[in-house]
Amino acid sequence: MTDEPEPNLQNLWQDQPTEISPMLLADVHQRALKFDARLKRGMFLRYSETVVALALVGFELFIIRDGLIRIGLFLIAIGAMFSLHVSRGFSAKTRNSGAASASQACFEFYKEVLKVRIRYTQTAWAWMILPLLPGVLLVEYCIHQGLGQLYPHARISHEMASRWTYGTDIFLVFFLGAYIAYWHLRARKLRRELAELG
Amino acid sequence: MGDTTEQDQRYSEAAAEFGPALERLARGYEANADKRRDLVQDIHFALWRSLAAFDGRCSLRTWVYRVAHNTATSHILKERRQKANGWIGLDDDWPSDAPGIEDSLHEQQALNRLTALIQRLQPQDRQIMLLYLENVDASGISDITGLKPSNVATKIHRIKAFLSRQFHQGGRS
Repeated sequence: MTDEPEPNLQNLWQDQPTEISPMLLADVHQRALKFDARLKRGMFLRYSETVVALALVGFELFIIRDGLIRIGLFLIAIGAMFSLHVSRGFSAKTRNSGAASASQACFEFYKEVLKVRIRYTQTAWAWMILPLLPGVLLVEYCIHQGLGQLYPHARISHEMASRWTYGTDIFLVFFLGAYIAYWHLRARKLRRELAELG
Repeated sequence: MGDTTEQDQRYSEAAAEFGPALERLARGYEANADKRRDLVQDIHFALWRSLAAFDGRCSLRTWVYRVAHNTATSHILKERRQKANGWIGLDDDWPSDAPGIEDSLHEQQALNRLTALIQRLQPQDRQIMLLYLENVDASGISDITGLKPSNVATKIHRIKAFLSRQFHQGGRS
């Protein structure tokens, strides 16, 4: 046993009354069922998102005649699916860490969690944004070339199309910069925390 | 099905023996009563799940505390209400927004003060402090946290100094 310069505090801590009624085995089983259901629901939602995204791209491909735009949209769809795939990998790692945590000592577990988060924050922009970029840039280029030609039935003046595309460009650059800076700051904080652990 | 029965049995034993300690542990991690109740349930669920893989390489107590602290650490990292730079160290002074030493005359107030203090500690110090308060010896703390026994001894020494400073000498700078 440790020496006891603070026996009162140890007693005080251990003698405090309990507030929460003990969790019954049936409650734990119920929670396990809910946990599985939540996982399935999460997977279903992710697949639904992919289906909706593909349907939208398919619709655009059907409407738009321009070959380059079609390629751009196709690249966006591929990029989105890649992002989803990587994101799923991180989710699975986080999910499984619960069951694996018991075998790890707390100090190692804490370091491991921080490392996974650092990897996530450091690479987030690369797998969230970068895969979409080629498609977005290609579409942007095509739009810049002539929005009016893409939607022949819409009455869009050249000036308006120009303003719209430049606006979108500025927004994209700012968004990307802010996004990268945000994740970079988060990663730096986590790295500092990890360094403090020694 | 046989495995599940064994898992259930182990869980029932662990919950019966460590249930109150797990609740106290959750109190050291979460101040909000509703979230604390959720955290206790998360810990119990994580414990039940983990016990399917329990192989007896360490004691049940070590296993239970590891799962509980790891689950609670994940919880505070997720919540991030106390940001990394908002946590205090064992060498720091009592935060100015925390209950004062004059309130500690009554046992309940001393307990509140101690709990508030623990909730401000960095995760690693918090784990050692909670285990120390549960009377877990230095080698037990070393097994649970994975820190070297010499480091644990140093930490315990600092925890005692910290508690003594906070509860006997006024605490505030």
